[in-house]
Amino acid sequence: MAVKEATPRLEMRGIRKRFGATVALDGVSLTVMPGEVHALVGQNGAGKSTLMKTLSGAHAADSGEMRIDGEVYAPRNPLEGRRRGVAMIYQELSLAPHLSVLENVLLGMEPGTLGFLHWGEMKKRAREALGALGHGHLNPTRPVAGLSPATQQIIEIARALAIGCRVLVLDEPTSSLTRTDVAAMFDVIQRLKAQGKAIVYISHFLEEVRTIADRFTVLRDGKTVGSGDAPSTPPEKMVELMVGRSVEQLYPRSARAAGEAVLEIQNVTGAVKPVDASITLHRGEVLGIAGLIGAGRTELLRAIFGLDPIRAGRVKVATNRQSFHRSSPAAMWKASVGMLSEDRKTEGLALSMSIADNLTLSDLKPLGPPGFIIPMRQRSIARRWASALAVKCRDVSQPIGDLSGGNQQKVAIARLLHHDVDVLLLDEPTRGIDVGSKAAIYQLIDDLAAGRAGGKAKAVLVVSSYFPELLGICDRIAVMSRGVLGPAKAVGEWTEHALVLAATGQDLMKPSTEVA
Amino acid sequence: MTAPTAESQKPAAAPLAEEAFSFRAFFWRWLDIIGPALALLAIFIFFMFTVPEWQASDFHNARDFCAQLDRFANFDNISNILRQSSMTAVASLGMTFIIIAGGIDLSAGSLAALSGVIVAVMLDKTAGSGTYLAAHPVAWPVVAAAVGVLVGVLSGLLNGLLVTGLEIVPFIITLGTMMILRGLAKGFGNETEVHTDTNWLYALLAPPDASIHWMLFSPAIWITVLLAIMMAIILNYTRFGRHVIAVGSSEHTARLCGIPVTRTKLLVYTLGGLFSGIAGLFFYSRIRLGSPTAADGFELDVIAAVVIGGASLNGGKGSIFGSLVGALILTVIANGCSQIHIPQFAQHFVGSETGLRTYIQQIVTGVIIILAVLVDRLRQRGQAS
Repeated sequence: MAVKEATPRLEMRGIRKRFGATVALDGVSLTVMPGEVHALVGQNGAGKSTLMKTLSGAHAADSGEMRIDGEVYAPRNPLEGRRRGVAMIYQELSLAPHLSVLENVLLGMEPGTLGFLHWGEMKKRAREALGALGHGHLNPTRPVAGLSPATQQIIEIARALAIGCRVLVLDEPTSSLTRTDVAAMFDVIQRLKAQGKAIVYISHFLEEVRTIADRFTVLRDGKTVGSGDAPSTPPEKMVELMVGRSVEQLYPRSARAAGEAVLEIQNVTGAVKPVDASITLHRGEVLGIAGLIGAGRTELLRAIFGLDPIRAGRVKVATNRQSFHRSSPAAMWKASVGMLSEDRKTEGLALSMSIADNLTLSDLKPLGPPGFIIPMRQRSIARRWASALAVKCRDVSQPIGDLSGGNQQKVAIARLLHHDVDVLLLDEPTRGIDVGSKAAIYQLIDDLAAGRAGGKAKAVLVVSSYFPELLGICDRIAVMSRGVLGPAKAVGEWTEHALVLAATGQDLMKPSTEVA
Repeated sequence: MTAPTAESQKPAAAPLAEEAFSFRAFFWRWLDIIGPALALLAIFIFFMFTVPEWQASDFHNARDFCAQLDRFANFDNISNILRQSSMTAVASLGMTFIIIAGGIDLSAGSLAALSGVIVAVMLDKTAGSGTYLAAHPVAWPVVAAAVGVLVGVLSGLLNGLLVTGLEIVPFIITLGTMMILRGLAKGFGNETEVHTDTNWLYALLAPPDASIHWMLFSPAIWITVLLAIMMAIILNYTRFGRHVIAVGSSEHTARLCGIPVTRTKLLVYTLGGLFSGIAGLFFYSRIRLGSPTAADGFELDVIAAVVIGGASLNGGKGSIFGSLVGALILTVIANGCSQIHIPQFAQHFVGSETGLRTYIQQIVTGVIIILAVLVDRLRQRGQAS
C-alpha cells in the first residue's frame, strides 16, 4: 500500500449529477492511490456506471472535483479523458474484429509518416504492451476475430497501456470468463498494480473483490455509503452496505390464492444460458426471478417464449394442454402466453408505428372482418386501454416513439391485456421508468394476479434486477446466477440480503481460492 | 384501478384528454400526406410557364395567356405523361410494399424485361406460337399476358425465397437476381428483339382509339389506378398490410408479437414480382416488341418514385399514393425538360433552343431525389419538435 502522504493517483470529491428530476450521483467521493486496486460495488442502478461515465468524460458532473496525480481533471469528452490517461474497459469490448491484434492495440495512434505506417515500430510497441501484461507470446499479426473473450479483453487492456493510461477502469471484467481465464485476468491486474496504475474494479462478485482488491467503496442510491479494506471485510458486511435499510412502500399486495399450474418449465437449456432450468408457474401467483444482469434470466424467458432456440427440455402450457420443445412466439400467444421484452426500444415496441398499432399488434383479429382492420375500431379499442392504464398521449394514432418511457411501457403491457393472455412473462417491467408509472404497474400486476382485473386470475412471471421490487410484489422468488436457476421459495423465506448473496453466487465462488 | 381484460369486458370508453388544437402538428401531419402532391403541382406549374416561348403581347389578354399555358398543360400532353409514367407507377406499387417491409428489389427492371420478352415469345411471328395468335386473336394474347405476368410472380417468389431462406440482405440477393433475370430475358429472346404481329395488347398503352374513346385515357392507366386503389386498401385496411408495416418498422417486435415474418416477406417479394411483371407487359405494349435490353435501370426509377413519395429505406414508412405521385414527378420532369424553351441568353450554354438535353434531365432528376429526401427529413424534425 502507498504511504499516507503520497498524492492519490485518482481523486474524486463530492461528485453530483442529475438527469432531469433523478439524482444519479449525490456527492460521491472516491480516492485511489498508485498501485491500488479499488473495488466499486453496489446494486444495479446504484450509480456506478454514471460515476464511471463522469470519470471517462462521457458525462459532465454538475458539481464536484476530480484530480489525477494532484492536477485538476475536468474532461469535456471521452477523448480528452483518454489523453489525460483514463482508460475504460467495458463489458462490451470495442475491438475491430477484422483488424489484427497489433492494429487493435495501436488503433487511432499508429506511428507513421504522411499516412504510411511504420510497421516495425508498431510491432515493437504492441509487443511491449502485451509483454507488460505477460502476453508477449500473442501473434500480433493475427486477426482479433477468432480469439477468446478473455484474450480480447487483454488486448483491450494492452491498448490502454499503449496509450499510457494512469487510471484504468475495469467494468465487470470477469463476468463472461471461465475460472482459468479469471486467474489469468488477476495475474494481469497484479502486473498493472506493479506498474503503479490506479485500478477501479467494478464487480458484483464479492468474493473476487476480496481476492483482488485492496480497498472498496460501496455506492447506494447515488451516495457513498461506506468504504474500507477489501480483504478483511466479510461479504455480509458489504451486502449490508449495498442493501441499506430503507424499503419503499409502493408495493400493493392483496390476498391471492395460487391455483392450478399453468406453465411448467422442465429442464430448459438454451444455447449458452440457461442451464437446466425448471420452474412451475401457477394461476393467481406472481413468481419472481431475481439475478444480476447477464445471469441468464432474459435468455430463460426468450427460450420459453420461442424467441431463442431451446437445446434441451420442454415448456408445458397447461391452459390449452400444449407442450413445446420448439416453441414460437405465435404458438405461445395462441396458447395464451404473452411476453413483455426487456428491450423496449428495439424489441418491445415498433417505435415508428402508432400507439394503437403497437397495442393491438399481436391480436389484430378483433379489429374487423376476417383479414381486415377497421382503423376506427382499432383506435377505439386502443383508446379504452390507454385510458384504463392512464397512458398520457395526445391520441392513440400518435407514433409511440413520442411517449415517455413509462407510458411506452404501459402500452407494451396493455398489449398483453388486449390479447387477454392467462400467463404474463414480464422482463424488467419497470426498468427505466418514472416512479409514478412503476406504482401503476405494480398495482396492475397485483390486480391481474388477484383476479380483480376481470376474468380469471392470471399467472405472472416477473424478472427483475431490482430486488426490493421482487420482494414487494412476488409470492415466490427463485434466483438465477450464471445461468443456473435456483429453487423457488416463498417470499417470506427471502431477505434482500439473501437474494444478493445468492445472485452474486457466493456458494459458487467459495472454492476459487486457487485464483489468488 | 380495475384493469379491463377480456374482449367482452372492455372498459367503459373514457375519452382521452383532448389536447388543445396545435396548428403546428396539424400542418406537419398534412404535409406528410400532401407534401409530394404539392411538389408535383409546383413542378407542373413551373413547366406551364417555362415550356412556352413568351411574347410581351401574351400578357395583354387572357386568351393568349391561357393559350400559352396550354402549350404544356393540354390534354394530349397530360395523357402522354400518364402513359409514360404507367410502367414506373405500376411497378412502384409492389416496390412500395417491399420498401415498407424494410427490403429492396434491384431486380425489378430485369424482371420487367423478362416478362415483356416472355409475352412477346408467346406471340412470336416467326415461331409456332404466332399461329395460335392467328387462330385466337382475342384469347391468345390473354394467355400470353398471363404467362408473362406469372413469370414475374415466380421471379418475385424466387427473390422472397432467397431473401428469407439464405438470410442474406435483399440488396445482395436482388443484385444477383437482377443479373440472373436479365440473362434469362436475353436467353428467351435469343439476345435480340422478339417481333410480334399486331394484336390487341398494343392498345393497352396506346391513346384510346375510336372504339374505346369513352375511356379518355389508355387502359393501362385505368389498370394502374385500380391496382393502386386495391394496394392502398391492402396496406391500410388489412392485417397483412399491418404485418408488412410492422416487419419493416421493427422485425424484432413483429417476431415478439407472433407475426409470421417469413411468410410476410415472401408475400411482399411475390407481390413485387407481380407488379414488375405487369410493368413488363406494359413495356411490351409500348414498344410493341419484346426487348431483352428494355427497362435498363428501370428499378432505380421505381425506387426513386417510392422514395420521393415519402417512403423510408429503413422500412416502416411509405404510401401508395405517395409512390404514384413520385412516379408522376419523375415523368413530368422528363417530359417537361424535353419541351422547355431555353431563353436566348442561355441557348449558347445549353446548346439547344427547346428541350434540355438528356444529360441535364438526369442531373435535374438526381437533384430532385436528394431534395425530396432532404425535405422529408426536415419535415420529420419539424414534426418531432
